Amino acid sequence: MPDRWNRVSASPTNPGSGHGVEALTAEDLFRPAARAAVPLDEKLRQVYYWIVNRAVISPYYDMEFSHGEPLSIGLGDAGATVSLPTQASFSSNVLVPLLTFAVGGRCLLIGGPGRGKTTVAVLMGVLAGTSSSDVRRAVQQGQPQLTISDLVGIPLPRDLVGAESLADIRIAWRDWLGLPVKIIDEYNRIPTKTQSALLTMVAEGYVESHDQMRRTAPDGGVESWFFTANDDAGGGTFPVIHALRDRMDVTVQAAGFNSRFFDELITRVEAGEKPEEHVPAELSFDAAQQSEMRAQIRAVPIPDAVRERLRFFLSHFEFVQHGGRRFEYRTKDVVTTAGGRVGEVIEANSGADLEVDLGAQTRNGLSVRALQTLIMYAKAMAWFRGVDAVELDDVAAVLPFVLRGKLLPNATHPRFDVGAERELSTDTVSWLADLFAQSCRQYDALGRDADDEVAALLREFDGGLDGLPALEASRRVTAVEAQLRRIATVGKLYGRDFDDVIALKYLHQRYTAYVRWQEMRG
Amino acid sequence: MNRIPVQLANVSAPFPPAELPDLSAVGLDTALAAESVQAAHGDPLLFSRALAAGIEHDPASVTDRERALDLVAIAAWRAGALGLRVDALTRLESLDSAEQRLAAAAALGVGVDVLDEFRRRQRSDRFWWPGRADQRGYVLATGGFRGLGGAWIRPPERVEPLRDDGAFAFLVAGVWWRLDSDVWGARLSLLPEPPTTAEQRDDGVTVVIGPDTHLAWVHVREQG
Repeated sequence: MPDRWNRVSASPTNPGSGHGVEALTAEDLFRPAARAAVPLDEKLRQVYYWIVNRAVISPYYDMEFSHGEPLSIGLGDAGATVSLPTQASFSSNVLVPLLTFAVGGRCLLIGGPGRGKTTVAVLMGVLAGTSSSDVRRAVQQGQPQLTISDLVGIPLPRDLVGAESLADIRIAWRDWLGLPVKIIDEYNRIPTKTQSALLTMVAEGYVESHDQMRRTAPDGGVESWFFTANDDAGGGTFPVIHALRDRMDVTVQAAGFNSRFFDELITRVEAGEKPEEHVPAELSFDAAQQSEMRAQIRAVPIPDAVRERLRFFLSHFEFVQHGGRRFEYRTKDVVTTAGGRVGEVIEANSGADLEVDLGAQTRNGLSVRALQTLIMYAKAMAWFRGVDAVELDDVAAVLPFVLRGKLLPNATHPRFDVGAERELSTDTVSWLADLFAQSCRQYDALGRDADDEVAALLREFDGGLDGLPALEASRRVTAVEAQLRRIATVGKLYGRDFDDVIALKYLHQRYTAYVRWQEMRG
Repeated sequence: MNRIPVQLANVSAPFPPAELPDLSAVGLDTALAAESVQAAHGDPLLFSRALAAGIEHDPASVTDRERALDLVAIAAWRAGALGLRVDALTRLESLDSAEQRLAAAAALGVGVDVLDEFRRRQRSDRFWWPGRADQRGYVLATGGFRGLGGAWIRPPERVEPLRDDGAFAFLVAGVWWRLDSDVWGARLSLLPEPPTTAEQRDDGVTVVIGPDTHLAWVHVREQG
């Protein structure tokens, strides 16, 4: 086997903690024990560097991390800049699938033909300990004639003839259903009915045929899904059903080929090699390691400072003025489910400042599922980087890939129609990254770290109502009403105010109900 | 002009190409040792060649475990694994035979006639080797532009000595880095917080930085 495939980062893939050099003796060089105990996060970093340095020719570093401002260099006369990050930065088209493998998620890889989407997915399968030939064989090729039976298996013909009830019919399940990594190629070429069967597998973790059920996740293990498609804009032989599209935790674009690496490509063609056939054995994860890896990721804490900014970010998007009459119904979802157009409703709100109102840039709000995914991937990013807690940079790095296809741009917003900003109408990832950056700037400008009266009222309520004197409860009702009046004094209403008003109404209800109960008790 | 990090002692190819020696007769897995050298930030190729050069001058080391370990320690240190420095210097002090001295000098890539001077000077000057004067006192360059395979995206702004010998702290683009170094090796690592610096020592060692280079050069002024 050519040596070039076998080089795994032996030195720590993080630049170290700066504690000097540990003294060694000649005997120490012959002890393999230290090598064997590679922590799982270090092992995942080794995998990442093996893939980008050996397997997939991907010199793109678009997930950037920097302490302070990175060096930026303007290029050309059309506003292009390249930035040189100060910290280790990563290729999204490799790292996002790898994080999906680590958390047991679902990743949609998009891009034109021949850009390595399937290769990346197959590498994930091999990392889970399946042989490369089995992974390749288990790839489900989307095509217009793909039936549910093709996908899941068929009932045994003998049982079909002899069975007296559905329960007597055994199913010859397809082997791929039990693999820890499942790959569906060109999923937008699969007929709608078969997509629905796929949805059950992806969403619920089981498959059903003739009243028989089979779980798709390995026992107690982690399963991850990789889908590929040539586009993300509704193209393909069949439209992807919304519920299935919404199950994609992350969406990432395959990168193009860099001509400076042409020699390596020639070498591979001449040698007839495929990277998935050369994954070093020490880089694969068994089921126990995958479970442990996911548990470690879930345990990464999210500090309050990061939570507050995330909370602020997600508050922008649900509200739309004139979306309904009752205050609670002034949401984009109310407009959409009634067949209305959110863009038109936003345009009709002549009083809003579209520059300030970040919610006006989207035509929908964020689902709870999307938020759960964002939390999980931000933790995975922090864990992968080897930091103790999620940092704002971790959230910023994964957010565009999680929200792509979920937080949809409002094409009628001036942002997508003015000057250089027009680029954002096709570059969803940059738009989402910028949306988060804008939100963080607003958070700072509003001084939310120091002044968040609604958060203070909610904290007060979290102390519980047990034993609360009626007088104190009445005082809090007054405080809630005062806060509502304070919001009312500001002429314009934004998404963040909507969430605050709803939360204040909730507090008002809880306290007034408590006061009434106290009065009834005498 | 150099644009990438370098140990000047390695510039003139100090060892001929050689396969990794086989020491299985004395129960030593040299392939494993080469991997360990790499993990200790040394160069496994240089380790192979240095070890082969040493063994060539002391064939008895192939069947004598302690003699083999002497050469392994010296070759690993010579390959840039800084952690082996103390062990290698200790072993250099206790060489018994002429063959061992010859082998040790060969593994270091220095003439046997300067071995004693090398041992003596290394006790107080970790950056000394016989060719240093020819390099006008320069020993190594560290850092380098990331775009060319180095570590830094901007030239270093400040350099401060640290308490440990051969250790310095660099402020680069708002981030502090630590350098551990000696004549054969250098290792950069990120510092999680600003370092506690030491007083300038009067040992002639300085680190040269400039606004137009991403490299930092370690230079030693010969003591009068």
